[in-house]
Amino acid sequence: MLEFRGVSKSFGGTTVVESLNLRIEGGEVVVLLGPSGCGKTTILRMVAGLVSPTNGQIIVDSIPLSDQTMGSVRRKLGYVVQEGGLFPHLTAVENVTLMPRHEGWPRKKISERLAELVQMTQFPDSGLTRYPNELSGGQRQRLSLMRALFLNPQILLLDEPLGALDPLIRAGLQRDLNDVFAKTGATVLLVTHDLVEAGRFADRVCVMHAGRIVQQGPFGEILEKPSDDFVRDFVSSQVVTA
Amino acid sequence: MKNRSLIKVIAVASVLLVAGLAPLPQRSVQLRVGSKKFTESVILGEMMRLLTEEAGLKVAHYREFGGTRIVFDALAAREIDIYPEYTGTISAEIFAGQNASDEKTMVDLLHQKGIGMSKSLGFSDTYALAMTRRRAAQLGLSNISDLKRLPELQLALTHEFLDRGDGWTALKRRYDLQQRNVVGVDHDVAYRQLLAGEVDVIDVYSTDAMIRRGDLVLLKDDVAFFPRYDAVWLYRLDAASRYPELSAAMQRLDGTVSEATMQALNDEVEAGRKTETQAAADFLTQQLGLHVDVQTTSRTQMIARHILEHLDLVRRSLLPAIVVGIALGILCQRNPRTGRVVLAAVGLLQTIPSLALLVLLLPLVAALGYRSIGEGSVTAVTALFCYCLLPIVRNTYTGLDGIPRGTIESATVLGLGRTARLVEIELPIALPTLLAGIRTSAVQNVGFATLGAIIGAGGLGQPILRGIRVNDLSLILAGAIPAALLALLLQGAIDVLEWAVVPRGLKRQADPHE
Repeated sequence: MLEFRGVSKSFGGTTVVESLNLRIEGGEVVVLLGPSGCGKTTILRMVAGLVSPTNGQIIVDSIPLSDQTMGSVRRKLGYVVQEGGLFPHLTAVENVTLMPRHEGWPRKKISERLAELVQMTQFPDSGLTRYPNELSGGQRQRLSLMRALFLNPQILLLDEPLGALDPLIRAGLQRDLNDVFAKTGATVLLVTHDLVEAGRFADRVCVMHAGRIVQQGPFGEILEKPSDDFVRDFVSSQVVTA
Repeated sequence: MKNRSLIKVIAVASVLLVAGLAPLPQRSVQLRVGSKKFTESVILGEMMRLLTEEAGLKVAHYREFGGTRIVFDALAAREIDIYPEYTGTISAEIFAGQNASDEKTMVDLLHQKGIGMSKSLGFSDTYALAMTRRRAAQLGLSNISDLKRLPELQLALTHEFLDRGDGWTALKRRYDLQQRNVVGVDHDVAYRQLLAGEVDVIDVYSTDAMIRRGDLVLLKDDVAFFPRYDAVWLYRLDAASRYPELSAAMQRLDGTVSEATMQALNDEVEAGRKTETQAAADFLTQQLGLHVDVQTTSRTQMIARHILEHLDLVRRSLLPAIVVGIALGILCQRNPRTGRVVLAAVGLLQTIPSLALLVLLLPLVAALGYRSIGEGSVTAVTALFCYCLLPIVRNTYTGLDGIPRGTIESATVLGLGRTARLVEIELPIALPTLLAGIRTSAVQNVGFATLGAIIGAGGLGQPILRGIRVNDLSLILAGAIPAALLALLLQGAIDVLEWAVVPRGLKRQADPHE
């Protein structure tokens, strides 16, 4: 469970997120949808503790987020940044198993978990000994997802996970991501500017504009009953191009 | 398990520091002889070394490690025990402005510093202005005062002569000269320029071999400006009381070297017929009937020894600089405000001319009680260390700063602390840039280390300096070529290291497979 209570964030006088109130139930997949600069990535970064809110409170699994609780909250999080954020000096296996090795997991437990995740994310076995720059874009995203999932997070944060992939790979990864969401039962907060993508993943879509959620609800409702001109324009512009 | 990377980083840093700071076994030395950077001084120094060694002392001779100021200061600071000096230099330069023209005052002033002065070696080596015979005849010059007529003449004077209390400025005032075209150059260079006709007048020592060889005439000091420059030993009084052999050696040399003898000795060395050691040994045999065993080292042996000295300078400066430089680079990246100051400071160090840095460091190192000149000189190592820092600090900073934000944030959210993130993610990713910095430093360092010879620290600069002094191109190359090869070798070694430790994922041309 993830809850935002009156959360605002401003950078040097510019308000990026304004009094956000949002409650996400366990296992729910919520998509923050909006154009770039609408504050959606900042929301993810606040949950991950990379920036702290100017006002308000974020509550993760009934723990209010603060410097003191950050360590224990991060254990519940899996974070996939844009472009994956993979470690270029480590092979795929080393990238994925860095944290369990760091935590002192026994080798057997690590390899079991690895096998499970390779299966779940459909990552090719042959890629495990390769370095990130030797993998394709789709493989890199799957790898990044595996790494985020390894310690069994309750909450998964994804920033444009289908980013710059070509359409065929997108379709495959989209399907596999939905599988992963279902299998892990994690609470998912996903950020995208792509209407179609939002539709494929979301239990609930929150359309954002200038730091505020302007409309939220099931995808169909957003399409059929846009609450204001901005949502209507945003939706129609992408429906035409899609 | 958890801190394996941290342990690895600490281990590498410790190994570098220990390897860099570990002293080589130094041979024990009882007596240190010094000499200034001209042939005569080196020959006299060798005479003293051979005589005292023959008497059973363990002696080191720090050859040609500086001008009057540096060598005298080294004596005052107990870095050396004895060196040859000239009375005129003592009164007019060392104690300039203290009215030390009579011997008693001079001796008193020296005593206050714990220094004694021997009797004259038998010759006087005065400063003089010299011209080629042809040019002097052509212009009709014979006295220094004649120069007044010709203010357009081209003068090339040694830096020391330009600066000294009994040097150019005072001479010019005394004779009321108007010369405008005066450049400061090295003694050997001035001589060559004079013979080539590029300059008209240079300053010389009256015993210079080049006077006879180049058929030079000395302009008469017609107002008796220059004081007497009797050659004497300056020595530490405590060393003389500790080692009677030292006083005995000085006594044996009393009055034995005539002006003609000294000029001949200088000539033999500068014409390349003998080394300073051979010239000194032959003199001792003829004059004192002393048979001296001169160990003739072949040029190969000599170069091999200088290569080892050179590597030692590089080792003791580069290895600590790697550790300190990387640490400073990390600091710069973590704390941008301090970083700007550190980068500016390190950059500034780089801009200090090497000679100036060495001379600035000399008294500092001596004051801290470290060996400032000669073999194992901390001064040379410190200067080289300073020059090494900039490329390493800057590349560490650039390497760390260039890591994409997403990579760092992923590591943070995964739960790696600051230290773990640094040693497991940031430093390894920055490794190629870091190694490039070390490579730049190493190559520069090998070049800079030749300057160590200026303060007697040895290394491949020594044959280069000697080669310049005695005008021997092959000697210069014998220092310069190994130095260049050493730089290439070191660069190659770091390339191999890079190939071995940098993972494939960080190499630029990894070809992507689908």
